[in-house]
Amino acid sequence: MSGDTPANVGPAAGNGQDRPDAPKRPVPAPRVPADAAVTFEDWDEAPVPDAELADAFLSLEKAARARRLYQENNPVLQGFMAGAKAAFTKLWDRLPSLTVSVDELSFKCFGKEFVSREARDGLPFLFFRDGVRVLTFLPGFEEELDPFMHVIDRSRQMGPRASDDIVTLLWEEEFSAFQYSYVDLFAAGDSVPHAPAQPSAQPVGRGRIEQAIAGDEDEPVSPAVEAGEPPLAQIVSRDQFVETTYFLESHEVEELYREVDAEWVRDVRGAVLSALFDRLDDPTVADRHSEVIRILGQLLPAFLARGDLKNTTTILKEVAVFAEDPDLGDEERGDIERLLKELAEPQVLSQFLGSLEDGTVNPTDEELSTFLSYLGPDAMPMLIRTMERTESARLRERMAPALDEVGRRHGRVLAMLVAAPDEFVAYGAARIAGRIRLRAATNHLIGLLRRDEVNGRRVAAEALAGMADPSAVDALQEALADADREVRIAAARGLSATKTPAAREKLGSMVRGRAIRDADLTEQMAVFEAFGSVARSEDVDLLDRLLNGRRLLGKSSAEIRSCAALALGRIAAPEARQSLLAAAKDPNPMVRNAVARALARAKTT
Amino acid sequence: MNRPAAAPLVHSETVLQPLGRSLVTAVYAAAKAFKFYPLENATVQNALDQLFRIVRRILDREDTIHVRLVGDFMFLNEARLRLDLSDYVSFSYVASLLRRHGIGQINIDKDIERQQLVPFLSFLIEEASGGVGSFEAFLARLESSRTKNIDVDPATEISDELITEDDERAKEAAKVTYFQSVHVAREVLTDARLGRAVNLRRVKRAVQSIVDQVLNNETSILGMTSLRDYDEYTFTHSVNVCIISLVIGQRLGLTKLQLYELGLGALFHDIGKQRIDAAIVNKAGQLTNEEWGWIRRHPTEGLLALFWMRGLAEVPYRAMLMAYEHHMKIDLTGYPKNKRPRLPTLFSRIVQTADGFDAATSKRSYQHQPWTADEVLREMRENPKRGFDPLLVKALINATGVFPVGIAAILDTFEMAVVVARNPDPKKLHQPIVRIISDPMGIILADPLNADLSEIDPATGKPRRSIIKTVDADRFGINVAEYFL
Repeated sequence: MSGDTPANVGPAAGNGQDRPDAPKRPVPAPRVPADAAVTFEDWDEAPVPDAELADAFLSLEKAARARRLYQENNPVLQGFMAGAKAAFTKLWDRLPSLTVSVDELSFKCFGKEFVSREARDGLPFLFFRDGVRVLTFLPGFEEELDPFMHVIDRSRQMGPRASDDIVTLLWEEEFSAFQYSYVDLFAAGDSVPHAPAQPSAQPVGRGRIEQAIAGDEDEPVSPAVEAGEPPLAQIVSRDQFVETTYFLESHEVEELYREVDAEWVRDVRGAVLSALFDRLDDPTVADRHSEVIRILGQLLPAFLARGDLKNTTTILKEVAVFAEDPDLGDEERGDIERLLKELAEPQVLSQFLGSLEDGTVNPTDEELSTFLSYLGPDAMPMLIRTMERTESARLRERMAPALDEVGRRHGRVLAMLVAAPDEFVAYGAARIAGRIRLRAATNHLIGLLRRDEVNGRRVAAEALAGMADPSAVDALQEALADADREVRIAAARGLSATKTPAAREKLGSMVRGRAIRDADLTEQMAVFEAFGSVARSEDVDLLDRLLNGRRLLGKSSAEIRSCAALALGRIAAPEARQSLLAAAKDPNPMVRNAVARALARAKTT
Repeated sequence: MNRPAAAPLVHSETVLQPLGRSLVTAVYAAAKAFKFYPLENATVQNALDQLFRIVRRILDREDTIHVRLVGDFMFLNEARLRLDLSDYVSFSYVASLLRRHGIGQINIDKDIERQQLVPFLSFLIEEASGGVGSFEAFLARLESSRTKNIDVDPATEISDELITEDDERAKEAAKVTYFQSVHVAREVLTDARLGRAVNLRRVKRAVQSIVDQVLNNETSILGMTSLRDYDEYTFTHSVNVCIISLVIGQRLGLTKLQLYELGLGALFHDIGKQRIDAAIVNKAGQLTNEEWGWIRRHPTEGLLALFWMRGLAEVPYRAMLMAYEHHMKIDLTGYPKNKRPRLPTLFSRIVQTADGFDAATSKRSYQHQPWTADEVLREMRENPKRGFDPLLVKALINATGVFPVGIAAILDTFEMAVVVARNPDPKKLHQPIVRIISDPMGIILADPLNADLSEIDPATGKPRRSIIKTVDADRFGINVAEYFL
């Protein structure tokens, strides 16, 4: 292997770029010899001090090593890259280009060998192992150092069975100031046929030529004619060649260019999917249905990772339809079940949710909703957790309706999740259960309401509000005495939402009682408004007394009067309005404001 | 006839291509502007600015500029410029201006100034006799204008010899690429049939090499596709479809990396056949309906097979579609049948065109009598039932000429000839370059000679030679391959 230096590799294969010499004028030597197969032996003396060359190679190695160790924005890496650029820039003061032969562990030029300190981890070996034997650096290489290092980096990471090597990677990069020549090790031993010295054909004879022109030859019928097409004219007439028939008009060229542009924005994934679905519908390839489903199963996570929900949901819809086929075999059915199960795997879903959260993917609401609605119950904990933890209000807003739908489909699982040990999951499940009024979750919500965690009790109180269930009402009444103010407020609001007589009775007693007078204004308002929501016309008197009545020690406080006004605003009765109008000139501005709001509300309701 | 190839030293691409193409386009634009507008017109001034910018950019890299017209090719210093649909009109125009004045080379040195381009361009667009003395007249005018830093050399006969040498080298390179690619195709398709892992690295190198050849050496590599080998049909067909697809793709202005993707897919377009019983695929006789049913499955099999081909950076969707859609006609008849809406991709239609052309011109298991290539092209272009994209067929004809390379033909001189290159002038697609292989009496020439069928006989004002009939070379005992290898 090490004997394959440029000197003993065969002559360079012409690639059509070799220039013929100019006929008269001497053309300056190109910066890179046309055959590029110069060797270090070709030079008598180096026009550059050895130290400068050694510095260039060493700086290149250092930059390559730094690239392995540091992130792109790391100042250490940037320092080494700058060093390499400077070393090469300096070379161009003395050299038009630098052509280097590559040996197993060294670079060679100008009769000198520059051995890599990194041995088999060094750059020479990296090039050598893939057959690269000559490198040519041109002025401007320093500008291409980044993509060059990118190739080096990728090449290092590739194992022996990888589908690329340094040659294929360099080719893709299209450097303009870096050239290379390589020995195609794969091609060694392939044979290439060559023409014989003399043509093998025998004389044809004038007679046969004339016969052929006249069409008297016993000529075979072309397949098209056999297929019923009219025969083509046999004798070529110059008149047939109207150039426009063959010439691409400018508008046709434009059309082709438009097609090329369109090609790069078309949804090739979608087109592949359509093909796979068409084959799923095709009974003549029934023996491939299982394979198609396996492919779809592999495409799903790939699409998810890209945030391509359009195609993801398309797969889910199509597979769901296919799964309804009564003639479906056990194998296909098993494949489909596996596919859906794998979709909800945490490692698959978490990637998608992560990209959704950081905005890397941005599906439409409909796509997101459709996708989430196809997920099975196994996915619910992770989805709920994500929704609870995200700081994006927009994401929460988008996920909520979809998760509500999932919750409706899998109510029993959702109810169980309210009791999950993971707080995020439990609270999120409680919120969903509340929104969708999942009665099956009532007991778990009550359990949550009695737990020590304040946040859990608050969520439970809010969620229970939607349950028209006696046990929910009991629990909420109980929560009105909770140690936490927020829980009490939530319970009051929750109770009002139940619209039950028990709620009216309980809230009425609170309005009458002393305890509420010691609460802060927010809690007072919550309790009075809750009472107003469930109160009837006969309760107006109580509230009127609090708003307008004189008491032994004077009027009620301004806060209580304001709260009573707000409660009255929620009662759709003329007496309530009368009471509010009577208080319209209350001396206290806070009360007057509350009365005005209450009247406005009464008017609209 | 076969000899083992030494592992050749392969070179990366030269760097002057884009600059050279821009230069020719800028000369074209400036010459056109000069022709239609006065010097002070903004169009002329803008064109001059653009031309001077490009000249300076090249001079920043190279010490001097030498633009040479050698035969039908144009060189910028050491780089032979390749052309595509977007610039071949400019190339043709600039080449015609140079020929008109007998100019073989333009030389510009690094001290060139913008205003020095003005007299040069003015003289260039002027009419000239095109005959003897044209160059001298041009040179005299240029010298009398005292234009410095830009001069010209005459076209010479030596150029033709050189281009022949150049063509020989190019042909050899194309041959090595072609046969290595066939080896690769054989290896990977056999591996696929046996369920073994495919050596994608080798495939990629092969396709990269074909892309390089198509970009730099199109005539030679396209000529290789006319070497039909019945025994190797499966493998040569894959490589041929790859080459022909790339040739079409180049005319559509695809970038090198886009061509690479097209080439990879095209090479694998028939991989589905490797999942079908070889006895059916290679059956010599008529296929039964059931067997045809299996053959019709190969696009589906290709779609599935390519998905499992691991080692590619990502799922090769476009290649999967090329395999799946290459038998769909433009009206979506053909096979497989679609239920859902489908518009075959441009790449699939390119592969369909290339596949249709190569398959119809090849002898293969279930087609003993191929059509001649010109028949096939006419059929593809004129018969809508064949279901080819008419613009892509035109692009193909643009690349191959009306008489593609490898066609055997009888000339109006009663000589027999083999087409070896299309005419580089896009207006003379029906007048290819041929190799005359027999004299008018039908005696095979030991030393065949090349002829340009667009060459005019000054005595008659008509072409010296024209094709009057294309023939099946096999029936005349002519081995076309001998004229390419």
